Amino acid sequence: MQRRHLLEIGFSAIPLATLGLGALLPTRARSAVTPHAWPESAFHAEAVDAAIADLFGDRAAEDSMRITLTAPDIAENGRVVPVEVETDLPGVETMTILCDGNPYPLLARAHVTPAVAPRVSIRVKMGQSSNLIALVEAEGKLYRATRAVKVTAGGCGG
Amino acid sequence: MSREYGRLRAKAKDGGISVRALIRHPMETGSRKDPATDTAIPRHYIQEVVCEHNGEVVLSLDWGWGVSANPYLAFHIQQGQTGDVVLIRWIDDRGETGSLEAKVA
Repeated sequence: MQRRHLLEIGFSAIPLATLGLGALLPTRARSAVTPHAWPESAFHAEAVDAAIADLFGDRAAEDSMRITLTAPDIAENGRVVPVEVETDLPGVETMTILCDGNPYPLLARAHVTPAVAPRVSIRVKMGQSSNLIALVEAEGKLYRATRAVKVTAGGCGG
Repeated sequence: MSREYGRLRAKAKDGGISVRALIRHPMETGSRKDPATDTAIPRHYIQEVVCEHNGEVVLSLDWGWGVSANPYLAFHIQQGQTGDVVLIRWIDDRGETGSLEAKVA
């Protein structure tokens, strides 16, 4: 019987990691694009407090007027709600956005360098009228701003 | 850059660069049902986004499936000029990657 070439057997039959070829696997952990690990458990948290605790531990966030959280008062389409987070706080490290009315509140987190203005605009899904929460980490401290958004057509489950 | 990945505009502004991107990606939450088959459309979303200016990372983002489909992203690079290169690259939860690159106008 002819011996089949390794390549003909099919990758599913051979765990590549056992061949020492783990570095070739397009696994999430290895091919991470950013130097920080993607915060998996925070994105899977189903309660706002749990998501925040997962990201920031038990650090208290100080409400700050120095964060400008811009979003429509009324979102006609909950699938596409424009949000901008901006701050004049110095030394910004991260800016995080959550929605307390979503099944999974954590929406996005930005890792800011001094090369960019601490201002990011994205569009997010809101499942129902609820609050957007912005958390800014600056010089080791945590700051928070909240904005209520009314949603006329919810955007998470279609 | 390839239209299949989206659009990227980078404009010199106020001594810096105004960047606006529209990335093509379904960003499915996993909760939507296909009306034709009544089965759930699988979750599929960009997880990590990295933005570079002349080869240096200036901003990176962690996204979840709560970011809208065909995600929009805008930010401002503090110092820059026409001719500079802005690159945005990403990887999704299936390990699929994409990128957009533009010269600052």
